[in-house]
Amino acid sequence: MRNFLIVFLVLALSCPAIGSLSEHGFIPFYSYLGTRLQGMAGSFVGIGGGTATLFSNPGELPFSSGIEVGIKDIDNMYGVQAYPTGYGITVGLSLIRHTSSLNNDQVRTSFSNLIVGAGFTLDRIFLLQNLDWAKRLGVGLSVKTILGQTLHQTGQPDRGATGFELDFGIGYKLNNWSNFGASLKNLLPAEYGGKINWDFEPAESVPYTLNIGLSADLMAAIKPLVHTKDIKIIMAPNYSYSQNKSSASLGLELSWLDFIFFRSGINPDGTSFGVGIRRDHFGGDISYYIDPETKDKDIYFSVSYFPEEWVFLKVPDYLEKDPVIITEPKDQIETYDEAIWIKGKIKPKISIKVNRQDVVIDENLNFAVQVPLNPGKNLILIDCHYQNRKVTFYRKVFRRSRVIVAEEIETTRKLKKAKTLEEREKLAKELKDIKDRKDKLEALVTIGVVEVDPDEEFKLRGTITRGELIKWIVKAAELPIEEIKEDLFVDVPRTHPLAPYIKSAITAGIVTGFPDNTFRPNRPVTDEEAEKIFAKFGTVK
Amino acid sequence: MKKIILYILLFSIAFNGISYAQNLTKGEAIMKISAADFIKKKIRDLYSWAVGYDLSKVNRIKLLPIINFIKAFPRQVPPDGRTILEIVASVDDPEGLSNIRGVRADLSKIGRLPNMMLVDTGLYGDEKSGDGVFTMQASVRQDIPLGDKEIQVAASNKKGWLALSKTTIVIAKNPEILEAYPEKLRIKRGDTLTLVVRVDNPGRLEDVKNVSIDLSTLGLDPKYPLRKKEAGIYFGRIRIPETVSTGMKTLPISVTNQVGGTAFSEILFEVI
Repeated sequence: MRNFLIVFLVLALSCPAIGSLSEHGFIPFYSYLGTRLQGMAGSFVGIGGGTATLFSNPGELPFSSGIEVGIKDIDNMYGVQAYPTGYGITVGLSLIRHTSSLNNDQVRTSFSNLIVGAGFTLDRIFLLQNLDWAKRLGVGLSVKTILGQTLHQTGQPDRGATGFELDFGIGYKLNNWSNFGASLKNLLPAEYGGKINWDFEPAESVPYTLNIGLSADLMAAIKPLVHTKDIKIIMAPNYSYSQNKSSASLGLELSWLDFIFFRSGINPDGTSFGVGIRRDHFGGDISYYIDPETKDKDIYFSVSYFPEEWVFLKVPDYLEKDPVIITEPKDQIETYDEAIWIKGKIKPKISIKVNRQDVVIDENLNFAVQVPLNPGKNLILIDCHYQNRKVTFYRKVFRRSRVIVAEEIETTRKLKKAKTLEEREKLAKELKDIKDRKDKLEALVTIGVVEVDPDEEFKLRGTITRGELIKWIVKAAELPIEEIKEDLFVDVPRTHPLAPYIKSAITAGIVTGFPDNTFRPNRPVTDEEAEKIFAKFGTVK
Repeated sequence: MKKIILYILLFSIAFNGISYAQNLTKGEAIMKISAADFIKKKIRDLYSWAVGYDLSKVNRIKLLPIINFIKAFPRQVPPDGRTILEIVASVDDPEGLSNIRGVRADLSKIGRLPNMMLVDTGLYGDEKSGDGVFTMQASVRQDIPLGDKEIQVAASNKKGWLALSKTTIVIAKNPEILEAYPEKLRIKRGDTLTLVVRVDNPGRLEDVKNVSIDLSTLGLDPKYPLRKKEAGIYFGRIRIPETVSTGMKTLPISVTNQVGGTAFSEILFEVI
């Protein structure tokens, strides 16, 4: 008995007393969860649209929806959801089961946590409802509660704990392709209850963590250079600060057709990877990451569900399907007209705006509104509003620039009068050539290269002057227009309307003046000059 | 001679032909510009429905009619069904006044139709025809509860666009005593004192029915009616009886109007 007591005392004294979670290296209120978040090394503070946003930043909740269930093993699993209520508030809910051990299982902690969060965009506040920035700024708060936590250490009795904390976050959609997020985690001071209460030991305070993150769709950002609708690359840098320690991480996600996703991320612990697939309303993901507590390389699997209609607010069925019948125009039409009538009929209780402006609705719920068209592409927006919800319909309209071609009129007249088949065939061929040229001319007028008076006849066979051609060339090549401070040539003073174009073309090496210091802008262009000009024109871009 | 003329003609035709061939035509210039690869791509993109139809292609020019201001007179109206409420809206349009299709007011909050038309015809209370100032007259139904009521005015143009604006009127019943004072604050017994009361009334001042003063503290008529001096101003002259004790005196005033609204106040002075 005496020997037994000695052995027990030696064992007891050789084991350190059970301390706090932080002292052992565990993370209080551990929420490094969500397979997309893990696959991107936790760089998720600035990413909206994923359910894991509840773990990283409740400020992104208003931009998120879906359910995700993830599992690593029987002791490590979670369920999380972001639930848009339809009243402008998105509710987040998560239940976590987590177990982690250190030093060959000598120290082990297990907990069950419940997280409840809510987020909304600021336009839900009455005074801010019409402000564009308020529609893009989300705020959110989540409450994290320990349902039960145990800390086990070999040779020591197990300890239990309870407690709760708060996270606050904001998410701001900078534009269509980038996002900013910031979250302050564990913000509740210990004196107001933000702590972990151990059953045998003093309460453990929880350090706050400040996270700042960005996300950007790189393909959208460089759209003018790389245009693809199929591939999306999201880059998400992240910065964290807690207890005088700061760290940075970077996550990348490449997706194809919004079907398959490849992820990678790097943070001070190492590199993580992830793969996911989406099909209609379902998805599956896998992440290979480094656990920030144990530093072990772990794998999480998850399945997700993204419901199409998933709100409390009862919306008339026809809002999503056909809140408006647009009778005119059809989508994707070409016209020469300077304006187009948009006509249709709305369903009851729906209000409508065209190009974001109010339109008249008659007693039979019909509307007819005339929208002016710019030359070229026009996008017409038809917004149907029902309470706080909006469904937008689009009409793509292409306005061609009208050009009256003298040769077309003349040849058409001749064709009508032609008597022989041979003559008709010849004129028809000629007319086709003219129409081809007219087509190209209209395109050049529409993109702003050539200016024509819509009421005057344009002569394709008319000679072009040097000045005129240079203006077309400079506009077509989008050469920079320079400020003219002094006269260019004897016949091109600095006040000459073509002086900026001539100067620009000379700088680009497209054309030169004559040895007698003239440019002769009104002289017709000879074939020889044209050859030199177009040889250079083809290489300016 | 004929041969010479023929040679000259042939020469000039040949010469013209050569010089014509030497110069570039506009049609040729267009074909050459269009043949450049980067222009080909631009034209391809121009005609593509899949590229370039983004929010920058939404025409945002000002299309709506303009409501410069809306006025409602009077601001305070009694719910009596007969006091005339005049609503005036100054309207314009980017394409001129002739493009205005109509101006309507939603009077449902005061118990009238939701689409009452305002006119710019110089009739029905409108001062001048065609000046862009549209007018209408209405009254507030008797069962309308008191308080602020919003009146929305909508101006539409012939292109189908709509501008909305609103004004607020106050449905009130009770008159208001703006001022009530004696001409002298201290007066001797036996002297004559003039009392002045200035009142306001929802709707018309003419609808103030009675302004009276209670002189019972002076041993006189408890409902002494004041006389109307001008619109909203009432006065009365009283002789302070010799029997009245000295000291501060308070005379209650009451005002009533045609719709049964009342207002009360007091006049203070000292008998010495």
